[in-house]
Amino acid sequence: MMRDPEKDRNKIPAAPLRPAGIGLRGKHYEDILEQNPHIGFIEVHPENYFGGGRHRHYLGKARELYPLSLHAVGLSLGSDQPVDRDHLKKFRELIDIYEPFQISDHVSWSASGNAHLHDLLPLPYTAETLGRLCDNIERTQEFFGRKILIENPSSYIAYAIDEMSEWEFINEAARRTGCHILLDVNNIYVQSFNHGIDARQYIDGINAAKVREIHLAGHTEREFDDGKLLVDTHNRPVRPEVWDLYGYAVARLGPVPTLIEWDGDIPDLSVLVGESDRAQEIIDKVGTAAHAAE
Amino acid sequence: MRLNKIQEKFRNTIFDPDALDKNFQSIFISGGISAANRMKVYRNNVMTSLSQAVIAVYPLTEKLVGTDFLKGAVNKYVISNPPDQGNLNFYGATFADFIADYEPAKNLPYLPDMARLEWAWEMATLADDDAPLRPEDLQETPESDLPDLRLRLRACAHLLESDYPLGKIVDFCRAEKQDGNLDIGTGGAHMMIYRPKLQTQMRKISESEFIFLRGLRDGNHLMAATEWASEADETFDLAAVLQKHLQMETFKAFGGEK
Repeated sequence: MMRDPEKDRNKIPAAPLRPAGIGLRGKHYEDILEQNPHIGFIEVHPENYFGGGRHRHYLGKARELYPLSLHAVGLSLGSDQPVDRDHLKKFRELIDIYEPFQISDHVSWSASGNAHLHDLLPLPYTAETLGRLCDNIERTQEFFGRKILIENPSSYIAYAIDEMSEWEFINEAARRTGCHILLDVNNIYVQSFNHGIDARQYIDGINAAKVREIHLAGHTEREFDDGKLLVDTHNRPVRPEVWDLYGYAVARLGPVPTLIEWDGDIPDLSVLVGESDRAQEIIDKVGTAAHAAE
Repeated sequence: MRLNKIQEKFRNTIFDPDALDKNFQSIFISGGISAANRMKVYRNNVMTSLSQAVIAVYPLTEKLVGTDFLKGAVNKYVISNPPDQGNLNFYGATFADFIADYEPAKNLPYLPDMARLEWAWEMATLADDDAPLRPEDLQETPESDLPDLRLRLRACAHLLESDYPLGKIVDFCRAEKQDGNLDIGTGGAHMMIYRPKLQTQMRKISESEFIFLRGLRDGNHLMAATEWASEADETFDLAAVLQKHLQMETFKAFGGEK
């Protein structure tokens, strides 16, 4: 009955055969088991499975059908304080039980002192921040005995004290710690709009060899008396501009596992599957074009 | 400005817009949309996700006081009691204590106990999956060991005591229509909230049963818990209560302590 976690952690399941997957949400537990849709993998926030009961029950059933990615929101890797040990312990318990093919969290912070704000708050891209972030990535990777992915954020305010671009900051964290990158293409689009960055230059600048997953989601416009911001709301379909940018990213990065994220106003499962089909079509098209060019 | 200071100031600004002073503003890029407006996006994100997490735990309380009243209370709670851990699912434990001191709820004395009940429901729902003690496990225990036995309750089992008829209030809230008034002066309640398998349940228990289970929960011997229960009710029937709760899977299996 008891498994040896040390041994198990060395057997990381392979990446999915079909790259396009979807986030599994509580609303779709029954549907996904009944419909068994053609998707490459599922992803969940581990924090929602720290307790027992219904959530773990359904995750176990869904895991029998699909490869799993665990995408955390609570490690607060960018905080000027060490990652919480209890959070890591609970997280590792899930890794041992559900054997995800990869695990990730964000290039952001949410905890300051003993307050956890549960949002992906922006980091100044300085040498000091890089040091703190890398310390926490290393603590996490050491505790899990495997590499994690770090995801580029959406942000709504930019620091004048930045010492490097966002992609340089992320590349450097990946180089120092050996971690991989989860590239959120919607977040790049949001950053380009909110901060006047060239989205294609961002994709060209990121270290392609490190990218192991892509995220796609819908965003929302927010109007102020002095201008407009895009907010990463995960509550609607992926926008056409972001699909275009995704095509550009896939051409550069290849068939990377791609996840459709949808967390608010969650529609029927078939809508999410439809979005993942669209991502798969783009992957297939780019693959065929590359093959024809050889 | 050091990262530590930036994060502390950022945190303060989220809960108090006035904390965005000139010095703090100077570290952000100016021009275009103001820093104050940009911070509104974060304040809105944080307040919405924290408030929604708390409100989701208290649907019956919401029914009793109305959505606007609950939202107002939760808003104040969130600002004065931000989460202390990185998992939003366990946020809101102290809301019942907050509501007990919340001036606008002073004329609703049963409200804190209703909030305690709903928190217990949530914690039972999210409790660790521990194995229950089965009747045959106890049969294997020699009779001479029984008085010193320490039975533990499962992680999902929560006990509640109230001066108000919580069960009746729950039924009132869950009814399709809330017709008429409910008399809350009809006596107190002892309840157990637990989750035997996947579905959380609420059971009314007797006072002596409550005292017995509370004694066990707090780590006392079977004999001590039985004595206290018998003091409250001389007809307390240990064998019957034990059998009932073995059937209900209230107790935790021996060993396997994490």
